[in-house]
Amino acid sequence: MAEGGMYSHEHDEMDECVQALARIHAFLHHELLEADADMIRHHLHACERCMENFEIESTITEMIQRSQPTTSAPSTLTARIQTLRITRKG
Amino acid sequence: MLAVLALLSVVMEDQEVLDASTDAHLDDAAAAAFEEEALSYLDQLYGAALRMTRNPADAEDVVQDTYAKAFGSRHTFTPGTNLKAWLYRILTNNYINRYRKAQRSPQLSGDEEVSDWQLARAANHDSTGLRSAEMEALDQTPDAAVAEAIAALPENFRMAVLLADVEGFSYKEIAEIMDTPIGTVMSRLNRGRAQLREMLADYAQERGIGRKTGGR
Repeated sequence: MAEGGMYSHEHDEMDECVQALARIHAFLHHELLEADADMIRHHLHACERCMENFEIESTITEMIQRSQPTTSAPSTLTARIQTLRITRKG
Repeated sequence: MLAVLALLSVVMEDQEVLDASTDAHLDDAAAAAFEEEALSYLDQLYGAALRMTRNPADAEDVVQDTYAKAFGSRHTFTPGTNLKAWLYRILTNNYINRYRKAQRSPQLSGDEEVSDWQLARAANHDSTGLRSAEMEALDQTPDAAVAEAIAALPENFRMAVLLADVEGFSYKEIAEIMDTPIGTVMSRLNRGRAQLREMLADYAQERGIGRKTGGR
């Protein structure tokens, strides 16, 4: 499938928006090369709607994290797992 | 011929036993260090198991199996590589084997073909389901509703989102943990997050969170 074959590109900004949207999660997760991340940053500052989108996505990341609090393993489980050790300390 | 082979293998085993006893001290120390390090991830693994199973008893079982497997197969771990990711991989496999198979849900994978129309729609800033007016209000969504939305994601999407956004693994680590190419990880994350966003937008709309006061 040719890239962009499914929709028309009238403007370069459209391409930039597509790029920014396609890579927003990789950007959020710090998975982009610095040069690519800079391109996204540049676009976000130029495009209000993509910036809004980014802000929503980063809010969602915070919401996901907040909804999954850290937990400690129950002490009974810790004790049982200690007995599984091959090198049990006497 | 068979007898000779059998004899040979006995001799080789003896040799191995001899080597093993010579190295026993070193090996014991290495095993103890390995187990200590593995145990330092116990709380994190339990938290992850709880998120996967959503049930404390099941989470304990999965974690216990994970450590039994990890301690028993220490020699398959390459020292100096990522122990945390290695443990999560065992945990994930245990979970999948025990529970996903038990559920027998063929729809759970979520890995249907990724289509460009989603991006095209997104490029029109049309598919987000959330308007900027609703964004500030998004924060008001209760944690329980967010957790419920995450739980409702297709299994592979949910795992990818939890591993990336909650556990903080890199895409490469998630690829190892889920035993899948990085491209698949990215697709699962993008689509999982997109579904989550739609669900959260629906929730906000239903509850009237951030709804524009029409006409005024």
